[in-house]
Amino acid sequence: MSRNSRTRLPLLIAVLATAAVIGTIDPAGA
Amino acid sequence: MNVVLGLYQWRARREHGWRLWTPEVRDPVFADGPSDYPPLGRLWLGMWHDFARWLWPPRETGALDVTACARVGSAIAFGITVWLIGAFAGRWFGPTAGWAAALCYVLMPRVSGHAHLANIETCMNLAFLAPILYVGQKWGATNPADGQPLAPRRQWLVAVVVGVLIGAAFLTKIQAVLLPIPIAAWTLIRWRGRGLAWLSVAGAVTVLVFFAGWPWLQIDPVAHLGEYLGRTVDRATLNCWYFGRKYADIDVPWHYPLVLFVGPVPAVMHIRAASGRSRRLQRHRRAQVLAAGEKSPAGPLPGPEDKRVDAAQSQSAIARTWLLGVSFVFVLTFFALPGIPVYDGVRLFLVAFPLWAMAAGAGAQHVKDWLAFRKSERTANTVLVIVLALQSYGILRFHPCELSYYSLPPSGLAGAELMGLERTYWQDSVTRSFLGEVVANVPEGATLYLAPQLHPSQAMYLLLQSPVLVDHGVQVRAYDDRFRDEIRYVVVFRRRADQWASLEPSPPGGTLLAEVQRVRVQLAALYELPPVETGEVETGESGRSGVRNAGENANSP
Repeated sequence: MSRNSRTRLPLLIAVLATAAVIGTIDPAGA
Repeated sequence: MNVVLGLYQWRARREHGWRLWTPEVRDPVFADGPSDYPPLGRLWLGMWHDFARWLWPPRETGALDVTACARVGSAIAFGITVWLIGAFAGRWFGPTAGWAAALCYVLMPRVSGHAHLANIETCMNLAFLAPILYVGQKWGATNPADGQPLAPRRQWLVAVVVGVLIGAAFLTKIQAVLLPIPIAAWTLIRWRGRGLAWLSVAGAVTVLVFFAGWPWLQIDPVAHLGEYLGRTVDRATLNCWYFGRKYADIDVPWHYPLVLFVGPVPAVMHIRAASGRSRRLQRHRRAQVLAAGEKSPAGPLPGPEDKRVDAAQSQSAIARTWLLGVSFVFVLTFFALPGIPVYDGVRLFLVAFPLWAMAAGAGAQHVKDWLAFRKSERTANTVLVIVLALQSYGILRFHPCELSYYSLPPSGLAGAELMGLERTYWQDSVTRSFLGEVVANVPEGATLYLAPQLHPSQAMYLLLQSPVLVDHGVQVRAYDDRFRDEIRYVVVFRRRADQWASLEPSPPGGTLLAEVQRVRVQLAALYELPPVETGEVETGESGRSGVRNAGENANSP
């Protein structure tokens, strides 16, 4: 696995995780 | 509270720009603090709040802030942390370690739960991890030529950047005080006198950044620094529910951080992190790397240069593992010390979780190498993917109540409940779908009573942040036994540490109208209480200990 893919895969996971969290924020109060 | 104060500071910075650092503007803007938290984490939330509110306009209720918008800030900080964990674990321990560590962090339910809330903890995890990773990267390298520590190029610039990063952590939350000791100890052992010089520069820059970045401190540095640190040690006592007993935060048994760390992290991650420390697996890893060239028909035999590079990488990985390990142990040990307050589950030592995810990534690399050596590359990858996929159970099953997640060691949430561990520490179990059920079960204009109320304005916040309640015309007030004869509907979230005895396990004669459960454990509920007969009401303390002060509840997510 190349050095690029070492950082690209975590970047992809990070982007997907961020999107998943934003998409599943519960808008209930407090 | 975090969001409101973050908005105040963010808008002050937008309005005044650099003039905010001049006494004429700074002094009136920051005359009243805030003094409980440094500004950076709140500023981050305030900035993302305004951006998200502009991008996705929410249903407005007239509130100054919309908590859900600020939660985007936590999500972004979480994503950056995931990327850093994956990128550095990949560089340090191998490609499998990279993606596995990133996924482990994502799949830690308590971490994910905090990432969904507008709190400082997720920002602090990022601010805490960044300097450790940078120090490990720059000061943890090994020279392949002689096997000795390799000094970074532009070493003084590196020391300055280390200081800036630690300063940023200090500007985020008080947990930053846990950074200098493990970093300094590791650096001094590795670099001796040279490390001392670097640390001196980094320390000076840290102090500079901390004071330059917090205008309120500049108004009266000595007095305000004393006030800030004083608030940390001299503040209202909070309660903590632990093994079926209520403790004051400074009296909690020493094993609390250990139990609360082991319990809520998926067990497989513990195994994986531990396997990263296995010497047998590490030997396997080295043997496998060296044998790779020999086994491959196309690959060249490893020459002496390859072996030296591999040895240097291995030594660097060990050194960096020590840095992660020392930092991790220091955090948990600190919170186990007598007199150090702990409460709210894992919240205070959440900064240890990214370090553990890195260790779990390293363990995954070793396990994968071992499996690939014994079986095949495909089998190894398949096993890892399956194991990681299984770990998503916690989040899928508990969302949006991940703060209530417990893993196998206490037999999940149900086992933890039986053992007397806290079910939830905040109001996250009062979910949107639950509020929908609430309005379906109470008449328009009804008054809901919230229990427990941890902050004087918590009930008001719940109302203002919930358009579904506002639309239904309901009022929300704090529950109090003294007004029991006025109370018909009560919304309870199951924080035992501050619960009214009259509502635990359920109010006598009360009718359950709606509830939030996970694995058959109640996390929040709506009860309709029966009318009170004259003379039946008890007044005064009902096994509840009081309300947090406004400053402490700055974590309102």
